[in-house]
Amino acid sequence: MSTDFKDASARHLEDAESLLAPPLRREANADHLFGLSAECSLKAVMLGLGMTVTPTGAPADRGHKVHMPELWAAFQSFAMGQLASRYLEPLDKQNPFADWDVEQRYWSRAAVLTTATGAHHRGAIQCRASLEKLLLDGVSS
Amino acid sequence: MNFNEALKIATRLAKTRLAGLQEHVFLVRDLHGRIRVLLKKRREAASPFFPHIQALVSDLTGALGVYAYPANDLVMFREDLKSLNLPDDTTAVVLDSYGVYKVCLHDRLLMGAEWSASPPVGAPAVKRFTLFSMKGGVGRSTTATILAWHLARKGKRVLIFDLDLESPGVGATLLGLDLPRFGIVDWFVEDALGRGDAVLPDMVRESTLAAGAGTITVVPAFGSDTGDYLAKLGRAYLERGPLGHELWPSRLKRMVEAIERQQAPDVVLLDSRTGLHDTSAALVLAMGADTLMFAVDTPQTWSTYRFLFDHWTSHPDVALFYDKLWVVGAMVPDTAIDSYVEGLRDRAWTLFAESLYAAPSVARRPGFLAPVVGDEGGNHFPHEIYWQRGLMAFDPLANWTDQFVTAAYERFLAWFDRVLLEEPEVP
Repeated sequence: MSTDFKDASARHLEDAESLLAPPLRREANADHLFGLSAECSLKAVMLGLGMTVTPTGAPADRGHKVHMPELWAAFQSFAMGQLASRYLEPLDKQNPFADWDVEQRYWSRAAVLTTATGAHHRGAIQCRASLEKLLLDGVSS
Repeated sequence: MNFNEALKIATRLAKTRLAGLQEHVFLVRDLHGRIRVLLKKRREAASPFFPHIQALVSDLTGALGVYAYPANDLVMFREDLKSLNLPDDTTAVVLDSYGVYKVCLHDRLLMGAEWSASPPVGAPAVKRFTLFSMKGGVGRSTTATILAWHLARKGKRVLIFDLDLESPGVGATLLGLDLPRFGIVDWFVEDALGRGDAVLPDMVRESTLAAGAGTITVVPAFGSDTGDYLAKLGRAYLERGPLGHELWPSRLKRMVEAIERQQAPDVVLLDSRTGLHDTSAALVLAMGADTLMFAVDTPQTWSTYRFLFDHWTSHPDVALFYDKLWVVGAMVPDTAIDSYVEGLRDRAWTLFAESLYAAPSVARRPGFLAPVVGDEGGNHFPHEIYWQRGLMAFDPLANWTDQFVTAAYERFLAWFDRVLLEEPEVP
């Protein structure tokens, strides 16, 4: 099983931040990676909280096998009870990825809404904060 | 090996490696009680620190068994955890040290972390008092009611919050059926959606119990339009405000301060729930309040207070709040009063003397001298409230008798005015 949401979340976030920073400022791809990092963070949290997965490590439930922006709401509905609520708390209620699309990897640079990259960056950090809280709590392993 | 021993052993093993690592070592104890180590950053194999990290990993996995993480997961690095505000060595509990380097504890708790929180800096704009009891049925809410009545009679504008959300009482006691539309649980639910301000104006009602020039304004746990209380209580402790993640005490403080601005009270009373719950911790530590700690002289009272006070002896800021805790000798029985009070005082003193008065950061305060058992100014010295048959099933709006209130409370209220309100003593 090669799926490792935890590692992928860090990898995408680090790469996105490198791409966004000067001198590169490659916002279109940075933006894409912020969305993927957020997805991996939340899926790692859901895994720690008991989300069932297939033998390859992908979510078994179709409702969980989604990208941003759908995953933001799926996670809010998934979190229930005192333990799961801990990991919901770092996240905004408003979905910062509402204007993000996994398909934007096929788009032209001009088509990617780079004005939203700041919000996507903050969203990815919130998801990462949720995952780091879970890792410190020892809920993931 | 057990939970307690694991931390002691881990502390000892970490301490022996401090000189080699040349950094503070944080022991992170997770929700299961398993221990791992938090260091600043990864080291290359060629680094002089690398072998010391390896040795610590090997020591801990060898000694702790199931109480440690497996070797490959045992060390975490701050550079991988940049999205969180992790404590540093000045804000964490220090377990041991070697030279300038410390072994610190970062305890991950499902609840109860608020008992370790830092108190606010500076005094609140208005005097706040928290009424707290470790066990129920000791007259805490009755005292809140009588204290409100007493202060109003003296001309004070009193604002009282019923924060015993699991067992609301003081709101109904002071207001009867004449409730405002909303209560505290409504505010928490609406605030999470950024709508707290919409219910704020409809959360207060004046009690008709106030006599004299003062007023008693009550903020009840629920109001006439609250509806399904459990559906709101089940969401009231969410650590999330309108702007995202926000610790619960900070949310509470926002609500209390907003109503204080609206009502401009002279005195605020906060009636807390019973026992070691996070909400009580918020009222005792986060509000900058003086806390009245109710005690009856039974072994279970002292053993439970002992858990809390022992925990506080290693609190980094205990010197900032230990002198805001006051013991109330609750429901002093009407037989053998003197010997009962003496026993209560002795045990309260033992509790303080062996914990808070002896806490290193308290004992180090310039000029600090631990109070002796009979020192009436000591925080341990119990202030008595006498049991009165006439105050049983207390329903002051229906049936108020000055005689019983005076007999039970005269001495306590005089102390409260003199010491906590800092009023000159009546000759």
